[in-house]
Amino acid sequence: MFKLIHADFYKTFHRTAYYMLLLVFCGMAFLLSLMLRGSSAGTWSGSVGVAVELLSYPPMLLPMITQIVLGEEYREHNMKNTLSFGTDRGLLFFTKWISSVLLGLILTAAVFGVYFGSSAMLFQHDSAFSQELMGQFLNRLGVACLIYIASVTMSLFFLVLFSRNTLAIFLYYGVFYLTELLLKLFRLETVVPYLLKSQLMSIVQGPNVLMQQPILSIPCNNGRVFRSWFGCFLQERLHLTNFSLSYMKGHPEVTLCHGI
Amino acid sequence: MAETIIRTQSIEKKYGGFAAVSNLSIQVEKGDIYALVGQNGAGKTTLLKLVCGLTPSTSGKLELFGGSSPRQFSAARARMGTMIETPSFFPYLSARDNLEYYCIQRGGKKADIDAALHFVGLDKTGGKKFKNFSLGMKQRLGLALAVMNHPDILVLDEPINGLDPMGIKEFRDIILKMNQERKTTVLISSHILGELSQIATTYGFIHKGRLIEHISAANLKEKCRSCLRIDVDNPEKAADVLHNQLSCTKFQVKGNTLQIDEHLDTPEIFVKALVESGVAVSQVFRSGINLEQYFINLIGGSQNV
Repeated sequence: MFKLIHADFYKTFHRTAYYMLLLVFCGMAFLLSLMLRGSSAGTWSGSVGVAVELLSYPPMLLPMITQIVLGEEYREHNMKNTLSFGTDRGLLFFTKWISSVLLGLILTAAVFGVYFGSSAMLFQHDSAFSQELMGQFLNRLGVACLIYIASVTMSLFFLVLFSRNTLAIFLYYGVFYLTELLLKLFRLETVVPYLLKSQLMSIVQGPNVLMQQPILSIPCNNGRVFRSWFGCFLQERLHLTNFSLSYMKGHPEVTLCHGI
Repeated sequence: MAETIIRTQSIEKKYGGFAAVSNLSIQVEKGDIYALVGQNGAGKTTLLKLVCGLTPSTSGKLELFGGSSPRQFSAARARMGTMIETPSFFPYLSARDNLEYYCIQRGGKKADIDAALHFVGLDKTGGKKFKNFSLGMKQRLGLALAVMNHPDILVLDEPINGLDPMGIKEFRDIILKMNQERKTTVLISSHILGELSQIATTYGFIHKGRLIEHISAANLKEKCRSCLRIDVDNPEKAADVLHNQLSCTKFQVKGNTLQIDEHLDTPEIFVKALVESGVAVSQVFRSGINLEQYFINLIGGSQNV
């Protein structure tokens, strides 16, 4: 398993895509600090408030990570090189999940690191800033990470299910951001608080995240475990191949793609 | 007794209602170069994918190195080098980086990467990215990955597609070298039957998902061999003439036809001797078929091609 994760990291850090993500989002975090400098939020305590707001954005970026880790292996059809060496499909999916989570955490840490680093240099220290305030932020961040992990799982799940990158990305964004709308449309508002997006927004906007943490983690983890299990199940059952139906149908242009 | 590396028993693979491979049983022994011959859609690639674990079988039994449990398959496949369909790698990585990715994944040694690249002649491609490779270079890299872990068996699907004549020769030499020096077993499919006939020790002819013939190269050679056929009116006397006058020993009499395996380029010697001895010769022709013709005959003529 560690070899597979190591290989994923080797691949990721031997291409520009991940570095570009780091550069762009760290650059944006730095720019944000520059923009806030001199404003009412341009204090150490203000920067923590803005950072809490920023917690709602990482789910938008996570499909980029899963694309780097797994999506391109579907696109390039090179997963067969791994599977034909006898690698267990369930283990492969699990390591892709771990790699995506780790790379997502590195990205999140880097962005917040740059943001807080630049804020510390550019903003004024104020009396409202305290260790307790920072502790509350870290608590929110910790719970948000659970939701990020669930989001990574959902993104990988759609990739495994459809093995079509564009469809998987659209479905991810659709499910993450539009489910609430659909549930409200069908008068199923009672389910809305259990959605990943609702939970994330409650972390960002809620007054006391410590109270919410156990409530949050139950649906969050259940969803993650279910999707992980179902993803592994799919990996075991489906297969990697492009099978041409031209022979049986007599239409050379008709090709079915079966994915893992 | 030779060790059986791959054995399939009545293996079947269905896609919906269509059986891509049906009731197929093959046996690949250690040291074999087993050539799968068949048309497009005959089931060759599906069979290789079943062997490599890229697709599950619908029914039947598969044994790899004598094992048939998932755990044994996993261990067995780690002893296999495979190249199925078009070689696929990360387009933005160089040949070396691509191999290093798989080397890390497989827990191999870095020295194996250089050896594999040298083996296929890609050791001087430097930082050139895979996406800029020619088809031949991609095929070579696929082969490099297949040989990198010193496999006991190579499973190669159409490995010489896209190679130029020199590349094909080099590829053939590589396969033969691995087979002879490392005793590597090879399971190979190709449309280029002339090439297969130069390396294969065993053939499996597949048609419409079924194995229609399994034959050793020696037996096939015997069946395809070139000979001189002379139709005569008196075969006993003709045989006597060949034996006594021309000291010919390599011939057979089949009905009114003499089937001669020597002096194939000088049939006039036989004709002259036979005619002078009073044997009427009605027809003289040279017969013999190559692998392609044999295969076409086997599947029922060119209307099936």
